[in-house]
Amino acid sequence: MYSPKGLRTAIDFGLAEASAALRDLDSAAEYYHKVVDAVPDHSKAVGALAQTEFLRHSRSRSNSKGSAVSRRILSLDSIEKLFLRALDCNPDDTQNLINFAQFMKTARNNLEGAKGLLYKATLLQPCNGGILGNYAAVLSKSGDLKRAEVWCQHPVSHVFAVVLI
Amino acid sequence: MLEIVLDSEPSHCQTLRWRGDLHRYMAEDKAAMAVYKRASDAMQDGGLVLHATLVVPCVATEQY
Repeated sequence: MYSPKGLRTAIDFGLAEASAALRDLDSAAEYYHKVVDAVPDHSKAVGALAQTEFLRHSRSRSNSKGSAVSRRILSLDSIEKLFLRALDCNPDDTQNLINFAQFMKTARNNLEGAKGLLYKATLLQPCNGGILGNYAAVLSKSGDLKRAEVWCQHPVSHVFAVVLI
Repeated sequence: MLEIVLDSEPSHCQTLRWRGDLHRYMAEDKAAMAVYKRASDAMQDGGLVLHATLVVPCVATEQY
């Protein structure tokens, strides 16, 4: 049976996940922050918070009019710290590895970092075509065409890789 | 079954939470949101108390 605090956290996490699914990023961030404040080592919530804040950051940059938001947009440094904290809580969370790789690639232009994260994700889920395809795409973008070709020819990855490259 | 419980205990936070989880599992996000909000409101109103009908069957299962 849950304690009142545990139940409160579970409800807030549910609200955060449902808000994120409904693309209400501001509400999702609000609820994820509540969960992380209550349970600092909740790896799923920390990782989801990092990704949500990254999406809010990206949206604020593309939305020049700047819609009114309830919570301030976090800096890229703060978002990176959240991703690292999530990986510290659970180093084998493939979803977080993929999200962090996307952050590294688009926000930091750090293809080497993204490559390392996706490589680890491929080791954890060797039959996940989406991960293999993304890994091949990053290899290709960083000029490592020979290795990209090898990964594209992987029986699981080729469909996705052809689309992404 | 969750709906049956909620018919008799509409403010039972834990059951509401489970109902929300089930909605989310079924990708019914708007419904999940509504139920989680009900759970959140119920929690603020002290809706954590277990009704006897929810407790007794659990005790019976453990005994037999």
